[in-house]
Formats: sequence, C-alpha cells, structure tokens
Amino acid sequence: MRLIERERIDVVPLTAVLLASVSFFGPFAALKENRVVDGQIIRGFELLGGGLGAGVLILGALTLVVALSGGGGKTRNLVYSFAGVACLWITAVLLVRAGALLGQAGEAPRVSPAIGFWGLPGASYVLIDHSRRQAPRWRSLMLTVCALVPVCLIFSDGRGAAISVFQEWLERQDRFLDELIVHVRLFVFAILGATVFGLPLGIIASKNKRIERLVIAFVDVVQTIPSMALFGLLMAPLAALSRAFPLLRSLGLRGIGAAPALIALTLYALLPIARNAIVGIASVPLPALEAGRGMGMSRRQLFWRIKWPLALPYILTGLKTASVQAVGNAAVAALIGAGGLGIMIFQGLGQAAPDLILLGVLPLILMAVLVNRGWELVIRRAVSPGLLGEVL
Amino acid sequence: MTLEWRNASKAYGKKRAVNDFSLEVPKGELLVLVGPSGCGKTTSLRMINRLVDPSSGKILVDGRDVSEIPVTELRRHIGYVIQQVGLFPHMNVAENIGAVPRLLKWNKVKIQARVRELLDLVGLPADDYSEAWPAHLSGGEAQRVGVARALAADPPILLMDEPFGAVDPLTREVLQREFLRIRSTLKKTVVFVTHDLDEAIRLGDCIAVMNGGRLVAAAAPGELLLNANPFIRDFTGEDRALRRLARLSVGDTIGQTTPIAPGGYGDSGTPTGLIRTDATLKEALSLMLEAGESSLNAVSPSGRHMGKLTMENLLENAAGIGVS
Repeated sequence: MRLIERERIDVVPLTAVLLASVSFFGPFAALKENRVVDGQIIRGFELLGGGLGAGVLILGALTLVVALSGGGGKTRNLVYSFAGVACLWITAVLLVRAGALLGQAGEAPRVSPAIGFWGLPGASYVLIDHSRRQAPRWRSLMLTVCALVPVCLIFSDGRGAAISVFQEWLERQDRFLDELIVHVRLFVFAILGATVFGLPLGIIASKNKRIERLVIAFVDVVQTIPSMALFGLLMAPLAALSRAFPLLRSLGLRGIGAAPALIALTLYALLPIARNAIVGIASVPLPALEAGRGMGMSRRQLFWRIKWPLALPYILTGLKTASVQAVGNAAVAALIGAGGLGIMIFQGLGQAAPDLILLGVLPLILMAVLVNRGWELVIRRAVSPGLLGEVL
Repeated sequence: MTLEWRNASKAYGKKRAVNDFSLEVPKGELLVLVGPSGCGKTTSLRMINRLVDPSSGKILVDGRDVSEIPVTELRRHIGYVIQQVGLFPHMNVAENIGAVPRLLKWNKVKIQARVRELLDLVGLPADDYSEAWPAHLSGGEAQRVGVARALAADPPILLMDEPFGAVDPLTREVLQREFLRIRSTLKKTVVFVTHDLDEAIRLGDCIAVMNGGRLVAAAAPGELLLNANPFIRDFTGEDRALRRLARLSVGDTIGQTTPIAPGGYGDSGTPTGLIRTDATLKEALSLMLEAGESSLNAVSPSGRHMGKLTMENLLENAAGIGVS
C-alpha cells in the first residue's frame, strides 16, 4: 500500500500524464480543404507508426510509474523533464505527419487544431515547469532550449506550412508584423503613461487620506466601465476637441484611432499602478519610519532609503498586473481603428474563421506570458532579498 | 554631554501630556524615566531628539537649546532605540547598523570595521550575522542589532524607549545585564524609558518617576524606595524593602558594616549557612528564612571567608539606615 502514501504521489505530473494521454488518444487535428468546412478528424496515435508509437507509450507508462511511486527527487525530475520535452517534440512530429496526409484538394488545404494539439504542449509545459521547480536556473534554460529548438527546426523548412494558423499567417505576413508592432506600441505607451501619472498619484495619495479616497474612487469608477463603453465615451469629446482645435487634429487626436485607445488603456492601467503604490507605501512598517526619522534622515532620505525600497515589491507587482491587463485590453482597441492584434481576432470573428482568430490570440497569449515573466525577473532583481520571503 | 529639560511642557489640544517638566542629567549618567502608561515619559524622551517639539520650555544638550540645532544634525548624534526595534527589513544586519554612518558619509572601509566592532560588542558574531536579514532574527537578536545601530556613530547621548519591553522575561534579563556591561565600557549619557520598576532600579543611576505629565520625584534608586510620597509608595509597592535589598550585594554590606573577624563569629553563635559575597541581600534574606537562621557566613567566590552577615544588617539596609 506504499503507493497511496500521500507524499509519495506527485499529483501535478500525474495530471499532466492524464492530459497528455487524452490528447494523444483523442482528436488531434482536423484535415480541412479550406478554413470553413468541418474536415476530417484525426487522432494522435493514428499518426504515429509502430516503433514511435510504442516509444511514446513506454515513456508515458514510465512517467506514470515514477509519478506514482517513490524514488529520488533527481531521477523523478529527470524523467519529468524528458517527458515534458518529448511531449513538445511529439506535437511537432504529429503536425508534420498530419500535414503529409493532407491532399492537394481545395483552395487552402490545412490542418486545423483540435484538443490534442493544445493538450500535448500543455502537458509539456506542466511537466517542464514542475521538474525545474528546485532546479538551478541554467538547467531550466537548457530545458527550454531543448524543448523549443528541434520544434523550430522542423517548422523552419516549411513542413509546418499545412497548419491552419500558419496558413493564415502566410497570407498576411506583412500585415501581421505591422499589427504586432502597433499592439506592442499601444500597450507600452499606455503603461508608460499610466506609470508617469499613476505612481506620483499613488504616492501623493498615500500622504493624505482625503486625496487617497478621491484617487481610489476615480480609478475604481474607471475600472468598472467596460472597455467598449469607455472607448465610446471618449469618442464624442475627443472628436469635438479635434474639430475645435485643428492643432490637436494635426497631432493625431481624433475621435477614433490611437488617441482614444491610448487614453482608455492608460486609464485602465492607472488602477493597479496607483492602488499598489498606495498599498505599498501604507505597508511600510511604522517602527522602521520612526527609527529612520529618529536617526536623522531627511524627508527625502526617508522616502528613497526606506519607503521606496519597502513599497517596491507592491509597486512592481502593480506594474506587472497593469501590463498583462493592457496587453489584453489593447486587443479591443482594434474596434475603434487603433489597430493591433485585435484586428485579426475581430476579422476572424466576422468571417467565422477560428484559424484567423487564433492568429490574433496566440501571439497575444505569448506576449502576456512574456510580459509577466519579464516583470517577475525585474521584481527578483530589484527587490531586496530581505523582503522576498514575506511579500512574494 | 549633559542634558536638561527646562520647564518643558507639551499640550495636545487641551490635554497636557507633559507639564512643566524640569530635570538635569549629568554627563555619563543613566536616567530612567518611569511611570504608568500615559504619564508623559515617552513624550519627554522624544523632546530630546525633537521627534516632539515642546509647546513651551526648552531642552538643552550641553547647554545648547536643541531647537537651534538643525534637526537631522541633532538626531545623527543621538542614538535612538525603540521597543519595536524598527530594523529596516530590506537591509541586512550590517547595512542596518551602518545606516547612521552612511548618513554621516563615512567611507566604506571605516563603516565595515565599525559594524564588526559593534556586532562584537553586542555579542553577535559578525561572520554569522552581518549578512542576515532582519526577518530571520529572534526578538532578542533584533534588539541587539537595534542597540548596535544606535551606537554606530558613537553618539554621546543614547535614548532608549522601552527597549527590552517586547522580549520574553528571560531574554530581557540577559539584555539588561549585557546593556550594563556595554554601558560600563562606553560611559554615555543615557535616558531610558520603562514602565517596569525593577528594570529601572536595576539599570538607573537616577530614577525619575512621572505621573500625569508631571515629575513626581527624581532620586537614586536606593533613596527613591525610601521616599514617603504617597504616589511613589504606591508605585514602588509593598515589597519596596525587598527591592532595596535586591539592589545591594552581600560584599558591599560586609565591607561597610561588619569588620572581617577572622576566627570568631561574635556573640550570636556560629552560623551554618553560607552566602557568596556577590549575591544580593534579597537572596541572603531568602536563605536565612529557608534555614531559619539569623546570620550567614559570607564567602568570596573563590571560597575565602569574608565575615558574617546578620539579620540586623538586612534590617538596617532595608530601612535605609546608614547607607542609601
């Protein structure tokens, strides 16, 4: 009965194995003649020949046994990371095989993703992430490279061209890049603006209860307005301003386009930034302030040497939240002509073409994950290790 | 440096937290401000480093009115220890201790050497502690660092606001003992706030008792325990005689009262109990009660016979006759 002892069973990898098997035996993709028809469902294990298929099964069984039984932490993690990397490779191989099965019929034959297509990389992520929990940083970097490089190699010679999202991308390569840049620019400027306004606002608010209530009330109200409505609300006054002052119009301020989008995104980003600045400064322990004052720090020294470093984890976390949020919100900006990845999404919705939607959504997800990771890196670098234990 | 409150008062609205407080602390003395909570002792202390400005009256440091000294300048030369310690959580122990020297723009090498010296002084090995983070220290360790931080720039004046109030009784006693040791080597003018009378008696050269914002009495601990003022008698409690005895050592008493009599033991017979000369008179009393004897043999820590301690000695000391 040793197997059932709680601490010996690794629940997370077990879930990953389950997810991977569902993905492997369930529908992996659909072969379609064009983007609208339903197509023919194809399963993962059908795509793999005897030898390779058996290898996959053996690896799955091994991971299952390791997750269920005891054994050294190192061996376990080795198996998990290998299984995780393998999951990603299998996905690539399956895609290439599925592409080879595709006939030449139709205007744009393609492999459309089904559950297996998402499940396998998902399982891969979970396994790799779990195995590198206690691993040193260089090892987790190596793992990522191991997982991604072969996949990139496989697709670099055009064998991945049959994947539907890839096809959509091929059709509008230049447009895609432009919109990607527009998207990045939108959210970067929105965060910059919100930081420039929000941080001082938060810091000033933390000195005065009345201002604090005002600031909180304002950012709260903004946050409750749906993004669509906020764009709409901004359109009328901005259009009026633009009509009244030709100078503003020549600067690009109009009822639609980048100006209202930037303003709205900035307003949204204000809440997490200003609020976290307030909370961060309120979190500074009073005895530390008293000690700082008592030892002869000037107001400025007290702020930069005590308040700021102690509030920093909160402030940076606010920036992280605001950034990730802005990446997503910027997609909606496409509706008022500001461009960005949202264009692909709304076009795809309009044309009932899930592949096109994915072309907008996938880079969006990737961007959000990268932004999140980036801020976490910054937080780990910038925040004193003396605070990391408690706050984060 | 000498310290003086001259008719200092502090009013918050209609309430007078400190009312016409005047007191002088000679150079190198340790003054304990003691009294019930809300008596104004902390406010009086914070007037010295201008965390509180008096509504009227003045505070003099070495004869100079503190309100004429730039406030940051003043504070950098006054050590300040508070009950909650207030270590900076984002700085390690060495950085915390080096905070004031950094404000005074000492160079790095000098700061580093000073930090090691201070960690040594407060009994924390520098190699183990200088890189430690405040979050990982025990209450006692944190307050040692707090004291080291206050001493960092070698200030002539040290202000301590219930510094040992938040640690457990055992640690408190250790810290008090260590503090007495440190003080004997440094000889600074110290103002120490506490609500614990035993702590005041143990540490103070002079004890100032406050009540309702006013100074009730200021005296050496021995005299204070004899004070006839009703508030003081109430504050010192029914066991004030025992407190007096606890302050005095057997050795001192033997030296003052009974000449060393080698051979004979006087007329009250031969005592059988032994007491070391470094014990307190309170311990001696307890031993007499336990043994049912009215006298004890005093022996030095090395075991040498020093003389006889009698119940009469104890009675005289408890009542404050002859010595204070």
